[in-house]
Amino acid sequence: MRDSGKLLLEEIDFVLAERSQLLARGLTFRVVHRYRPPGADCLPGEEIWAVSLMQRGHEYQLLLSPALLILADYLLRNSRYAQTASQIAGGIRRSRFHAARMNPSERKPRIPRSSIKEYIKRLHRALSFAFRKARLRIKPSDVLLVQDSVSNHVLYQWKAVVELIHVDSGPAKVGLFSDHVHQS
Amino acid sequence: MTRILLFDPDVAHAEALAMLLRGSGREVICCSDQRMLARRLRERTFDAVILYSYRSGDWKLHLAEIWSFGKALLAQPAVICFARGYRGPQERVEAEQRGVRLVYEG
Repeated sequence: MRDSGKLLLEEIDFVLAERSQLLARGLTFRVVHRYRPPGADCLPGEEIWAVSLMQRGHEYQLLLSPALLILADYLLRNSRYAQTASQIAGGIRRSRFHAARMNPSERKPRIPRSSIKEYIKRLHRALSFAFRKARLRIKPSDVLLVQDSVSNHVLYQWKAVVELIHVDSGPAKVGLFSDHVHQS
Repeated sequence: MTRILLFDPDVAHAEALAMLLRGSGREVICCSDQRMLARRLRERTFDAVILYSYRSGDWKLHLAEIWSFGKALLAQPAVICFARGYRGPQERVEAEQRGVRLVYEG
């Protein structure tokens, strides 16, 4: 009994530590950018390649369209404050990085204020698929929050830990391993 | 204080474990049948649920019950399943996939 009791106490400490870390920090999401000029930090013109949920060492990619990738990238990198649809649309428009990905003349996606609500629903759906794959019993609305303000605005906030990965543009001679991955 | 729900059909074993856990500063509530488990889960929230499993896979029967209470992330208790005797990796894989920690005892 003493040995099994010790084992039990260790296991309880472990799962409670895991749980409290999850509750305190939120889930971890990885955002991958590619085509970064070598030596640069993070520049407009890079492609937002993927957004993934990281759970227990596994990566679960969110199945997102180009417009949703831009919105997810913006929300994840500005997750400190809840924002209204107007603030999100304005923030994306004014951000050089995101605006570079949204030039209508080049048939790139646009994110108008009026479509944010629908896009958030789609992000919830993508999160729901990823949670199911990761066997997480979490409601997407507990991660990507939709909160009523004291007036009639709705605020959105993606509570998460964000890991930003950059894949540099390789040399002109493109081979299988020409890209260099950097975590920043 | 950490609140734990201990499900163990062996009442004497449950009491001995509960004493040990209380000694380390945890609040422990024991139950020995499915109906009692559901009632306890309805009454209050727990940080962790410990399931003692005496037969292969019997812990799966209780999982739906546990997760039907409190769907929110904050209300989800962590679930640890203690199984008597090694039952191979398959059961452990299934437990991991369901988000349960399965530990073989002895």
